[in-house]
Amino acid sequence: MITFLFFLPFLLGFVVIGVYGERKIAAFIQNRLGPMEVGPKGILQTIADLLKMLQKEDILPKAADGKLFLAAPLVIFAAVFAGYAVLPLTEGVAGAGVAAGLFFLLAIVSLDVLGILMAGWGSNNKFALFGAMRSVAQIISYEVPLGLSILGVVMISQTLDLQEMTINQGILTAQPIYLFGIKSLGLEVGHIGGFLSWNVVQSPILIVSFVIFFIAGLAEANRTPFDLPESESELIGGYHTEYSGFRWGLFMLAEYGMMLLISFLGAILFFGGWNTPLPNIGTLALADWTTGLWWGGFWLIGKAMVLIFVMMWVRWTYPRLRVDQLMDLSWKYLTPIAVIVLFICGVWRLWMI
Amino acid sequence: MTPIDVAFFFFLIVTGLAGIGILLTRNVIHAAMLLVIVLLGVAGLYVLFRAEFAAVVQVLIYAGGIVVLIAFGVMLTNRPENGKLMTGNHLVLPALLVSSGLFYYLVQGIQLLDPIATQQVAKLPEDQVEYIGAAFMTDYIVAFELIAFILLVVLVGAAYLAKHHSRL
Repeated sequence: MITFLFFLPFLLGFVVIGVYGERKIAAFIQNRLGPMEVGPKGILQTIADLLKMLQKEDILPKAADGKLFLAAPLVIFAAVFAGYAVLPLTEGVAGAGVAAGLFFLLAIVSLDVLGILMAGWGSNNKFALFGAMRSVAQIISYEVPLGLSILGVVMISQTLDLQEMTINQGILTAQPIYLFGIKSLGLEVGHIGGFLSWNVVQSPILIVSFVIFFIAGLAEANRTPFDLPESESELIGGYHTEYSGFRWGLFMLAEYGMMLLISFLGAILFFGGWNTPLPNIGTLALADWTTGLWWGGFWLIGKAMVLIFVMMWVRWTYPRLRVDQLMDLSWKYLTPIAVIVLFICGVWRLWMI
Repeated sequence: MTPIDVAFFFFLIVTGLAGIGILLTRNVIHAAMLLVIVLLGVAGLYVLFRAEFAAVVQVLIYAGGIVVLIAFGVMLTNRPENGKLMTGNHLVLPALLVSSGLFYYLVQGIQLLDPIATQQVAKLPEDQVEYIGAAFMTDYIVAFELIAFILLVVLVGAAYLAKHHSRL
């Protein structure tokens, strides 16, 4: 239920703020002002755009394959949103209690490929079909390094349950946590908590894993520099060229939903989920003070927002990749590195921890 | 009717209707998309039978992988003159015979295995992932390694076929 009661309204709110934030960040990076007209500092710009979008006519092209065309946005959004079902929000609020939670998330999110194919094919438009082809090829290729980088985390933390994984990264854990995961150092940091017990610090090799995860995640979300599927300058808008009104809005919602999901997942897998970043220092028990039901949500969302900011920053910094460079990056660089990291993670788990 | 029963019949009916839809539709892409519904419905049934892991694998491999492959294959083939890819129903009688024969043996097999299977399910541990992983590495190691080997062969073969051949 938490998914519907919290994540759905949160996602809708996030998209409104996210679009405004993205414009402002883009404007800042490009040394201009961004939206300034509607409301103070242009805060209401997204609301205005939203109202305009909702009033648009829902156009069904004459030559389109009606059923596929109309169902596609729903499939994409449903697939992305189903991933939220297993996210743990805070201490007591764990989402769906699926033992294979992380695996389920990866599986269900990969279904959005089908929605994209349906949109591209159903539109009966070459640009849409090109966009869909590129998008599907890209998403399937990048699922390999994404899965391998996540597998390293799973190996280190020995569970697929995201809530359990989060608990093992903070002061609430029952297992001993050693500094940098090296047992022979003999420094037990489980009671200190804070950032010292996060996965990236528990086993520093996961930093490489995180970089791979983040790059692959950007590609999964079709974000720049991997936005070839919808590259405006060559494909008009890719698979959502033919859509208008609320159905187009659903594509936008799914894109931002995917961004948010990748950010949440990155925060949970590598940066301690809802655990506080502040450690206990002697009598200054910062970690104990900042752990709790409401703090948990605050930290998780805060970490996700930082990752979202990095995504936007990347978008306005790097140019778009070419198709062959895109495939090279995935198959020739990310996948081999991810396999090596996976191997090191296994060895690390056996010998160090 | 418990909620589980309701969910069971829901998935059953959805799967059945989508399956019939595959037979009746003439449009290949529609058939592929209906196949997704069938596979997802079966995954739902797996969940109801406490086989979460099998359900997730079903979604990942079949719905997310195989169907995309089928759809890709259809989209990459050239469209015929009239612009639409259509299928027809051929060899209706042999197909009916073969499938009803298979169905008969499936029912027989299920009835035969039912008591054993029920005991097995009752013995299943809570943590399925760990159990399956351990079983792969101990009881089923030969099958596991063989499949891994065959997949490697397939991968190498696919890479060879896809290679750009210079004319000899």
